[in-house]
Amino acid sequence: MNPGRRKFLAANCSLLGYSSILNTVLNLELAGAAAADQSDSTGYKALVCVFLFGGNDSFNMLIPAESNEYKLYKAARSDLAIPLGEHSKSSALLLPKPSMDGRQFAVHPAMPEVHNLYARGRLAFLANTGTLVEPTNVKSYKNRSAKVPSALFSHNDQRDQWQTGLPQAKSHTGWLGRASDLLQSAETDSVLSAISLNGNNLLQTGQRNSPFTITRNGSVEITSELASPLFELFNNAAANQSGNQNSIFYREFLNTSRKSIENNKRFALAFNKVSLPKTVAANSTLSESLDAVAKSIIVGKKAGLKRQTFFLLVPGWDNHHDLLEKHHSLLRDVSASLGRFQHTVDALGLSDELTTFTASDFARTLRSNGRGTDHAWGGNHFIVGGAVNGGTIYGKYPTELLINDGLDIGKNGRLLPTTSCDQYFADLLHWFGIPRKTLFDVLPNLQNFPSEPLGFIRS
Amino acid sequence: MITQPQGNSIQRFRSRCTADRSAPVSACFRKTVCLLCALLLTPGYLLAELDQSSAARFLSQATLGYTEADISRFQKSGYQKWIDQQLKKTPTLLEPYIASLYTRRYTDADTPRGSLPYHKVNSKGNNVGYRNISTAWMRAVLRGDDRLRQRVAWALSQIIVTANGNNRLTQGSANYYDLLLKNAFSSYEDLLIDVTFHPVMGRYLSYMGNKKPNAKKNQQPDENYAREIMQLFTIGLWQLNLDGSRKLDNNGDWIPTYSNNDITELARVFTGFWLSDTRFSKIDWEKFATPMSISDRHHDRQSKSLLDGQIQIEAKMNPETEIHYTIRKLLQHSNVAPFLSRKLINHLVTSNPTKQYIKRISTVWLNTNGNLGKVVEAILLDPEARESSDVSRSDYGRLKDPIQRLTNILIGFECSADIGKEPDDYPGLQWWRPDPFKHLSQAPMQAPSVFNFYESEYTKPGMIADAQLYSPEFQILNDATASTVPNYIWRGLTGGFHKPVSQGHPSGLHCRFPGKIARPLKDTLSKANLLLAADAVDKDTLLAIEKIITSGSRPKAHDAVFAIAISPSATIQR
Repeated sequence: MNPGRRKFLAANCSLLGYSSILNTVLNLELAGAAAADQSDSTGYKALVCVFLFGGNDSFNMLIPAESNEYKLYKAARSDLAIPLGEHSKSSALLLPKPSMDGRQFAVHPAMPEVHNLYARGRLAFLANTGTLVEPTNVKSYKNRSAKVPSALFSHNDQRDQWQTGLPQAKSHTGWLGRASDLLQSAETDSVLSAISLNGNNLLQTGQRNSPFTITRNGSVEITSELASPLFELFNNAAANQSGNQNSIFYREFLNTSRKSIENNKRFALAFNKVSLPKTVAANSTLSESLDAVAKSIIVGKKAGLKRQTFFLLVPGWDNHHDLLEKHHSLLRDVSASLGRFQHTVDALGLSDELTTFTASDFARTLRSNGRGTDHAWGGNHFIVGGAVNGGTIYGKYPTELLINDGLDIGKNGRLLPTTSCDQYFADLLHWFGIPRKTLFDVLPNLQNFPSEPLGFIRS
Repeated sequence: MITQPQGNSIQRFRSRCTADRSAPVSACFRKTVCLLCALLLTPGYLLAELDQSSAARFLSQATLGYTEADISRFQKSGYQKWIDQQLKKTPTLLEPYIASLYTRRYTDADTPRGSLPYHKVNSKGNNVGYRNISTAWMRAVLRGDDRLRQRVAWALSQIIVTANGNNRLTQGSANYYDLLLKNAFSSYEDLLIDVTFHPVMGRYLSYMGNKKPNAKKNQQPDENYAREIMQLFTIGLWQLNLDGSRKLDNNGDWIPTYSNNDITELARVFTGFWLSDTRFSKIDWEKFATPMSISDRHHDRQSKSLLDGQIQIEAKMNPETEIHYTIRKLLQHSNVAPFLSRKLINHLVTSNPTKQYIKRISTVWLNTNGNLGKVVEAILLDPEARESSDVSRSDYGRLKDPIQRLTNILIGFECSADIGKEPDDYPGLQWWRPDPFKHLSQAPMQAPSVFNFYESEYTKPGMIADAQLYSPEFQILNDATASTVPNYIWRGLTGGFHKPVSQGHPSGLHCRFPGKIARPLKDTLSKANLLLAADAVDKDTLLAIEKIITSGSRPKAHDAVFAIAISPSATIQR
């Protein structure tokens, strides 16, 4: 590796004293060329991340239904407990198939589409998953013998760590971006290969790849005809002059603007021609954004792309108050939008090629603060698509939801995750075409965890 | 926790003069000596004759926009006098305008098709839409001669963020912003106490209505404000040195400032808040501009201990006293000065100040007990803000946020001409149509979360990350906003910053470039260069721009303004 490259990587990974991680990420670069040969990028595949920003109260999304387990759930959640029982609109929907270890569960009443996808074997849940550096138990957390993620319970830090897969460091690359670096050769159309519906994000940022941002209406073209020639002029002027032009910010702004203006034009040309099969009208930002995803996939496949990634961010999950009402409407939107999206995907014949998964900063305290809940740690997620071994629940949903006991690491039912989000990502990436061996290079902490796949996706 | 002053001699001297009120000399004598010494000690870079460009450069840091008249006024008074005058300016507030909307009678001329776009009386009550705050804000920014105060309040509103978006909180939210305007130069402690008692913050971070623990109901207090007041408004996540660098433990790791246990303890402090003179948990929408009171019954009266015993709260303290005490103690934490000094430097001058710069400002913060006026003054007059050796550093400066890019144009080209003088003297300014947030990713009091529109430690991947720099405002520069912001500017310049009259909206904020600038294109370009880019666009580029514009059919003045407005020289403040 040339020294410039090493410096570059070091700059991209300022660390909290974990030099071994740095070395691993450096190895990723060395492994890069070799891995690219072994990677499977045949056929077409797309990964869609739906990030629930603010912290999804996911122990109310996936609810234990065994009677003794539900009793503990109800006691822990008090006024926030979702009723369980038949014949009521506000009751959780009992899932027709049990978890991997044979226990009954139910989903939030606002999620009939999710229930339906689960019943049809197209959706799987992954229980109590969160950011971890190494296997950690309550004891090793409390006596500080385990290395744990930095700035736990902080929104922006945990949001970033879910995207970087490096919870002990500040990283400027994300796991999906690093994986895309390996999967795609340099000449790949970067505008189409990583698309964000919600602006800049770390998840899709690699050394080579960074996301192209569109809105739910596609890319935004510049109105004034003066803009392109002007930016060409600024660019030429910058090349042969000093002064302001030596500024890094100046050059970054200039490059971004120039590139974006051209890419927006190019993207719109293809995107605006695409129409989707008729379905019920989109009625939320999320479902309109998912329509844009479907259109971008059509465009990408037409352009001959083998891999695409998408990032969507749904705000509004940080409900310290008004939780029941707001959470209901958020879950309603997620369920309805994803249900509708799957219809579109099926109609386009893309079912097996597309996998959608959820992520969130953290789950929330089991204990109520009287009106809502606070920041916690491990939470429940789901994965949808034709490649998903659905209709069951993976990971270890706690048999006892307890406060100040069991997995609670801090007073109010902040559950220690029992599955690392790296394990979650590893299965997704393996399906996406990253060889098992190379996964460790993309997700350096993965080597600290059991190596067998969680199993929620065909590989 | 107060450390010895360590800034340069002038700052040390100034801060002694102004802060050390216990000195055994008469106030009058002290003042005279101060004045004399200040003059003697004023560094050369503040005394040199001010050309237009350097005046403009200073005003790009100290204001949201400036006119040619502002420049000549500033040239006459010089740095110190200008700041002294600005610190004394009466704040131009938002609430009077919002209040006037509640009582205003509309005529057909205001609303040609009979619609009342900004004011509706309906089943939910007397509503003035939340986004009218954008209009109130823009009016204040355009009309006020309190340019420095408006700039600082805009920064504060992005540090101590609220954004309720509720039509019934429009007046309360304007009142909250006014609090930032009024306290823009006061002590940070006064500001944070006022903020903490403000119902708009109380509702935004959900501690209004927060109750003491209830074992029977299995409930613990809401931790929202406890967490964010520490993480974002006072001490931050990691222990800092005075120069803003992070302290390291024996393993070389960063050291957290607080644990989760501190959060649960502090959560108990922020209990019992509710609207004044209102039964607990009964909503009265009229009370959101009045400080909250604290219910004895719902406040946690037990003792509390946090930050390794740095804050000890005895049982049964008077609740109001307890809040004052807790905030004072929090603000004595050694992180506060570097944490907030850096944020203010970021908003006013540069995203990557040197450690020495942060240390000098932190020192002023400590010596003046967080007096924002003194801190802002020190930030703007610091050698790193003024001297060209620093300014030409490749990591120097900041990306202007989209709102500042816009206000630079609107103020510079005096688009205030149409506004009228009195709050309800309203010829139709409605800046929130089209919605600035949708197009600019930014609008007053509309941040998507308490983390603001962008985060101060954001680093854009690529060459900025390679250089190990922070680039806060770059977080909202992406492929979409790279188009939407210029498009918004273009639409405003060509058709006015409002929806067209033909769509039933009153004519509003219209920059009258073609009329006002009946001069050669060259002059318009050089005026735009001065007002938007502090003359940073060089002559050759100006000529080339002129060529591009005139190659099209019928070149207009707004083409020239647009060209400069989207240029990197105008967008990067250096």
